[in-house]
Amino acid sequence: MDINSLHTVAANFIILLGVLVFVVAAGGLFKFRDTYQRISAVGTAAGPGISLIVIGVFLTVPSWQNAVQLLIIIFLQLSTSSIGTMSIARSAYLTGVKMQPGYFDQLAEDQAEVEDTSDIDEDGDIAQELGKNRAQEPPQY
Amino acid sequence: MTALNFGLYIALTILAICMIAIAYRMISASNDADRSVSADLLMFSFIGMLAIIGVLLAGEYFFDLILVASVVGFISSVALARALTRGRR
Repeated sequence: MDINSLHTVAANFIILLGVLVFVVAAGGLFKFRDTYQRISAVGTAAGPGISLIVIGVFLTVPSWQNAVQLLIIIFLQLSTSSIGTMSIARSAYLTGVKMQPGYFDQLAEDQAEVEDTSDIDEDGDIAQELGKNRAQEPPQY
Repeated sequence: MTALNFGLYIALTILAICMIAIAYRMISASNDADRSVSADLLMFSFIGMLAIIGVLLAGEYFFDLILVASVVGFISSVALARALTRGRR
């Protein structure tokens, strides 16, 4: 086995590892009970998944121009994917999505009354209750 | 060469199944925020699929395509967050 085929086998292995990260994130979308837990799964997986796939792609076609672009892609992906996901999480909090066990909400400590969480279903279907609870007091954007 | 690229086809198949599952999750979600999160992950897995297809087709400029797609993916997730609050910041 010469050095070229060794490169290709290593590249395929790294690409499969990156795809495995995406599979785990998609499993998290199905398995977790809460929007914030799902946001955590996606925001953690997006940066390393893309980075691993692009590193594997670089190992199949290595050159100096691709190396520079590889560094730019990894830097941009790791720095911006978490920002985008956290902005979605901020919007989810502002529109009144509740945490599913919901024992403590330290962001809402200023509000006087603790909201009742006893009317949430077992299977995480909380969409209708959300709109009702937030309809009385408009959210402070 | 084609025997060594066997892992790429496996990765493409797994990623396609994963994208179908994410799209099903996006349709069947009970919540606007869940749909936004699923769309975000769908965009990222599309970038990964673009990279793998670029290797298989052996194009010349596909690294530029991945670079542009990663920047556009960031803009799309920020736009999804903006649309979730109906334009309010």
